[in-house]
Amino acid sequence: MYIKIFLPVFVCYGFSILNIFSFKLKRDIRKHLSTIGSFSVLILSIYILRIHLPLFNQWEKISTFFAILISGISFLCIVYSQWYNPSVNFVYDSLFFIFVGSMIGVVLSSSLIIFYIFWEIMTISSFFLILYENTDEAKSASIKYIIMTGTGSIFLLFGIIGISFAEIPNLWKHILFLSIFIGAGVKSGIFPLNSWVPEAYPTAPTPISAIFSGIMSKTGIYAFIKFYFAIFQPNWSVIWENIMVIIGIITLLSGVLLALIQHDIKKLLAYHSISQIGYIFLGIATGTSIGLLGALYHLLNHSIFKSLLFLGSGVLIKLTGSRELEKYGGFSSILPFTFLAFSIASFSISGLPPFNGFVSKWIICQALLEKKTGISILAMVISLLGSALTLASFIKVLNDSFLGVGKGKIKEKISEKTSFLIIPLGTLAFGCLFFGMFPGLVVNKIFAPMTGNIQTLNIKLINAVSLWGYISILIFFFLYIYLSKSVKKFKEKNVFVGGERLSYEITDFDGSHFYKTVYETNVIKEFYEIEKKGIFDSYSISEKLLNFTSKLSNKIEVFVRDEIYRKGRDLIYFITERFKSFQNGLLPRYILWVIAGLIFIMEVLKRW
Amino acid sequence: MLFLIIILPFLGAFLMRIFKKRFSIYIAGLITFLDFILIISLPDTLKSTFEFLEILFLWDDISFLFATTSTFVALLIFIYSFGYFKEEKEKSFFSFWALIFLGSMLGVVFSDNLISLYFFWEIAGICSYRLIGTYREKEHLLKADKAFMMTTGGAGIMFLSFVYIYLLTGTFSISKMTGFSVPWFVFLLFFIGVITKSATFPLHTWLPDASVAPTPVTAFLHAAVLVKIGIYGLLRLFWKTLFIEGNIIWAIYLALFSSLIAGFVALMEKDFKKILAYSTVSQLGFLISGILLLNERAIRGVLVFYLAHALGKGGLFLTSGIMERVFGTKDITRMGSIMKKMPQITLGYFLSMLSVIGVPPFLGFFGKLNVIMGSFENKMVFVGFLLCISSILTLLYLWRTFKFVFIIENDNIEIKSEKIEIMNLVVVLLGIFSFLAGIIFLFSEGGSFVY
Repeated sequence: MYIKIFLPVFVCYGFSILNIFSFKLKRDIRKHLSTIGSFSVLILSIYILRIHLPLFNQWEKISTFFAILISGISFLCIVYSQWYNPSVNFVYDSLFFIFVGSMIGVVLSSSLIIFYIFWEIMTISSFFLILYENTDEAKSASIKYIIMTGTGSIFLLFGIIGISFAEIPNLWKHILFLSIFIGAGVKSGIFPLNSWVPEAYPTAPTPISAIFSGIMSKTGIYAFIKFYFAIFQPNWSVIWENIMVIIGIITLLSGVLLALIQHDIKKLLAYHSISQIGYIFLGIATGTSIGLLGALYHLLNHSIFKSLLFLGSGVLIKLTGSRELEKYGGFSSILPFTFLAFSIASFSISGLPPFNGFVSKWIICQALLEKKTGISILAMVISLLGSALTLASFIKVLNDSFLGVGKGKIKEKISEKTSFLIIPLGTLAFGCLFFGMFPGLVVNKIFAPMTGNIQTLNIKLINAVSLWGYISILIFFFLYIYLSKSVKKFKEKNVFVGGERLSYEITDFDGSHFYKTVYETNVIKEFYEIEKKGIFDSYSISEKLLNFTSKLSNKIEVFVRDEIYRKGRDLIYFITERFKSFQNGLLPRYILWVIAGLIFIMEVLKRW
Repeated sequence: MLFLIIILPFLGAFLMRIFKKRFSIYIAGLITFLDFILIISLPDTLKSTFEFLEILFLWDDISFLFATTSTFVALLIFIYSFGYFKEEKEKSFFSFWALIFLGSMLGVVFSDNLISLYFFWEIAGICSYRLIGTYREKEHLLKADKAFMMTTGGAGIMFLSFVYIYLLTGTFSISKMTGFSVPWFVFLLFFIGVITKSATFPLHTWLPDASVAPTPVTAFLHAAVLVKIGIYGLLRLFWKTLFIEGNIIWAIYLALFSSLIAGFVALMEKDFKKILAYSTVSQLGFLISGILLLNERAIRGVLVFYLAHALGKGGLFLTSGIMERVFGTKDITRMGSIMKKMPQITLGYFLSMLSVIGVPPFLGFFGKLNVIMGSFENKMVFVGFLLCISSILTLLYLWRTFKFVFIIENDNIEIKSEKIEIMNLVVVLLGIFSFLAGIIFLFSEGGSFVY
């Protein structure tokens, strides 16, 4: 019974070993091997839900939910990576299966030690996936990643061991919670612990970044949910609750503010990923079941639209060979399908009705309102602000990459009409729409067994608000049809300034330049300046701290090595010098010593 | 048969002199192999004790573990040194002293008597003195002197505690002194002996200095024989044998402090071998504090981690020897891009490294886990916390080394092509053993962790 749960994990590891042993296979065959393997893992994850359904408690239902999510997204990503990166060798596939298998193992294991074992295998395999392209950037990012998450894992281990012993003083309970917080937070990218995120997400191969942002960060959230709700119980400490809300706010706001000024599309998405994790974290921090519902819902949505965004950006990267937003532009005519999917995902992440991000953000905001503390109301207001900023940021991305006059340079001609691209993007885009259009169905069927029924949640209200979304979409649609019929041709005119004909580069004013004004706004500018100094970067701060401590230790070490040893040696020499004069080589002196010694021994023996 | 096991290395070392010098290292390997086979394959009926001049030699589980590990790692190091040493003179010198070294380790491990324990303990000290000074340059000899003076001085102080124990219990036999309790200063005297041999702050400084010796020697010191003698002595005397009157929490904190400070120093060091040496100091602090927790689970963890450390640190040291050959320097900032050029050795190093850091499912993880759990069982949460910090430091400096040597690409380096197949093989073997042992441990005893 117990071992049966791990069936998808074993299948994953099996396919990984199969990939290693069949390293001579051609890419065309390996393509199908990996796809079939990933699909069978998905089927098995659904299968374990079926066989164990009556026995499951609330937490095991969450586990299977995560398992299905992980296997589903990873299936889509492996399908996509057959198209995106056709030259990968067996190492990639093998690592991929180990990675996915460990993630499923993390969420399925009920023993904490088994959980930790899978957690570490996941860390190690993901390290190699970041390193896979072996550029200089990838090297430094992967080292940063492994050092931060490895340290976090050991903190997590400390917490895991600690909570299994009941008699712990209250002070240590706080430290144990902090350890678990660090361990889970590093993985998911909570505010002060996220300095690896903007480096590692962009440098990994794109399908892997999609998995990193889409599901690996969620394993950290999963761990946190399980520890916070099942082991520590919510409301065990008011201080921690407030700290968590504050950290959620900072994560949310700093992520989205930094995303606004990025030029690198994947880095931008990485910062948005941080910001969305902030939303999920706010939902958890409330500690109520509606908050948990909101967090889980947003987590599901975030996996879908963030992996869709990463996969979409992968298409752009493959097309132009660059990650810079400045080098894109006007691709909507070349890539209509990607444009559609990408814009659906952008609207979802910004929380526009009727897309899925709207529903989950609504639930989180409601949870924060129901909490009725001052800080949670503030958090709600800021989360609304964060949504607006997200929308602003994604309008920039859409404008720069797909819209506008075509100025992007195409490096490699690609065709969208392949099922390896249409299946992943289409499924994810459909998911965005489905989870946004039928919130009642989703909440009742999927989430109610995990969180319990929530009386205060008014699905009808959400649907009613979504209606405005439908209406506006319809309006825009008809407007589009009307415009495209009436305005057949755009007039293009050359720009003259003082009789001089300006070149195209100067007159063009693209989105990322427009967002320089954001950078120069008063309060926000100070934030960016502080951020540049690296005050928020926990990695460099701890590096400095470690350097200082090791210099100190080195001084102690040198002192011990040189001073104490040398002093001791000199002392011994000093003593032995004194004895030297006893041995002057004269026979009578030695005879004297022998006789004296004998007398001494005899005296001792006599009195014994 | 036990007699044969102990005497075989000594006999072999002197027999080797009959044959020509170039066979000596093969003979040493063969004898170690025989010894290993004898130790692991003896049926229970032959595992008898034997007495020699009223000195008893005994066989139990702990001594079995230590003997097996030492002979196994020593065997691999001998195989490695086939490829490492070039001159016949060096080969015969190394194999002679290393065999005696191994024999004295076995003597320590199997003896049930404080006198014979002390005797073999000192033989090990003399061997280490000769081996550290393999290349007889002045600098090497000074460092060898240092190692000899410190360990011998410590052993002398330790002998005082043996005398006191004799006065208290009336016997030198360890198995007969079970149940007696000794005052804390006797423990202190013994502990000084242990921390000089097992290199713990503030008497550890000879160990990093000893890294001038050729690589098989340092691997012998760190992984197989020398520093583990102290661990063994502590385990033998104070686990279920003698009881200590009074609190020994200071000793735990001393060992932990040693572990932390060595970890921090290793973060700054640039010499590959010195990093590993400080790493050994750090891990030994971990082990000693684990023993001094004196509970069932922590001791179990110490035994597992001892095995993991012997295999893992062996692999790391042997890799450092290969790197020294390849780059002609010990400075890690002047190395690089090994991962691309030598993937096999990267695999071996990587597996060993993960085992020493304590990443599951490698063997080292189960050792560290049990030790930390043991500290929690003793209600010493702070000790557990410091043990975790020590693990984090291990992670930091080993990954840093990995980054410099294996990942970063350095254009200014030249790689000398040498024949290193056999050395490669040994490193890979050690790494795979660490991994396999962890997997076996997981599936055989992993059930005990389910809670």
